[in-house]
Amino acid sequence: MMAPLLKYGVFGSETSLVFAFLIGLGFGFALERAGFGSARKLVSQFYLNDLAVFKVMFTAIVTAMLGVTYLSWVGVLNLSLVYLVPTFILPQIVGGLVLGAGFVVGGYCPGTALAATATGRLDAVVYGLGLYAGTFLFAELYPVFKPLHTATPMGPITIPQYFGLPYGVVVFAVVLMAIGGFAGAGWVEKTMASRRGTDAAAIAATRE
Amino acid sequence: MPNILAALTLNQRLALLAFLLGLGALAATPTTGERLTVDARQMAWRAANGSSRVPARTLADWIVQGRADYQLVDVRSADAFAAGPRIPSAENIPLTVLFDAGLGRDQTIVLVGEDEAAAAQAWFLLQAAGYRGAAIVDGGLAAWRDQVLYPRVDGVDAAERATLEAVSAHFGGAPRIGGGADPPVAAPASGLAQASPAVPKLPAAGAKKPSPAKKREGC
Repeated sequence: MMAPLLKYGVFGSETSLVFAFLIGLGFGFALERAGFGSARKLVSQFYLNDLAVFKVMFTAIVTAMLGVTYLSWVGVLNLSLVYLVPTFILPQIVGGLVLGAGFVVGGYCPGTALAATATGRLDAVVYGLGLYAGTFLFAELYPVFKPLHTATPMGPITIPQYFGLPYGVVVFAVVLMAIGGFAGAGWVEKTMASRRGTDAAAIAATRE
Repeated sequence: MPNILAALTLNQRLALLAFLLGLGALAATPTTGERLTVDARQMAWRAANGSSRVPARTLADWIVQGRADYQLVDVRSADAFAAGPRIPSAENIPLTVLFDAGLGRDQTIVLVGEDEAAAAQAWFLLQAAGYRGAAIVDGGLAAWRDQVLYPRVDGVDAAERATLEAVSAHFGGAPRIGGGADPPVAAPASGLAQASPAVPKLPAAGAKKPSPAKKREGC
């Protein structure tokens, strides 16, 4: 059997929605269990007190990346059929900055806002409403945003393609980056904790 | 050695595992679907039992009925497609980009090309790649011309003749009595070509029927 299963006709697009739902369940569960239902924990990331968000996300990236690499190497996964979001480098950088600003100010990002809503946090509900309002505004004012939105298209390009490196080399490099990042994150957390004394440790230990 | 491993925390062990897997990935050659594994016996059976051939008349009926459960693909190059005769509602996907076109693996794909051999080549490639619904027009463009556009009506009964006339008229052709493969002089030379504007009654034969919704991703 070959994957991606949807592309090989193992199931249709309606059934794939069921799988999307199940995957979403898993993702929300993982977010909440990692403590990302708490705005305090999320925002500590930006104050460098608790870099759990960085660690969890990078762990997910490395796990998925290694899984995809090995499955594709064995011949079970057809890498060329995996959907890649097209790259529009400029608007994506701008959008990332806007998202980051909103993250620090609001205390959530879209996924974690939903996860926190599920645990009954009112600020997450308000954040979610803001999310829908912003999406609506963007859609209604699209002609204004269109020039930026469609600027600098690069197509669905990958890092190995862009740098002309072999696929495995990029995978190894990312794993090294991840391990280095974890070590660095641990060092940063310790430094910040000792700098702020027991206060930082107390904030980082908040498991809401 | 076992002492070192035992002294590591869980996180450190996971990091070591990731490092080793990353190291192994240096040798990885990802599958990108270019190399195919063909079950030769199965392919031989499939080719021999004739289930992958769609008679030109059947295809004509499908077009007239406006069926949308199949896709008619013309695998000629873009230039040949633009220049030459073509079957109405055919989508031009040259052979070289056939695998990038996003065809569905369970979809019925009817192939037509420069000649029957070209269609058969495309059929083999698609079948080998897992597109189980691939089929060819039996006889290719020549059969379309001889059986649909300019069908021979000598020696057929009245009901059959009426059907043949209606179908051929729909596509801008005309039936003929006897003679060779040449179309009758009266018929327009471009009978095989694009839309038949003279026959408005059924959905315009040249109009592209709505292609199956392919863009389900990235929403």
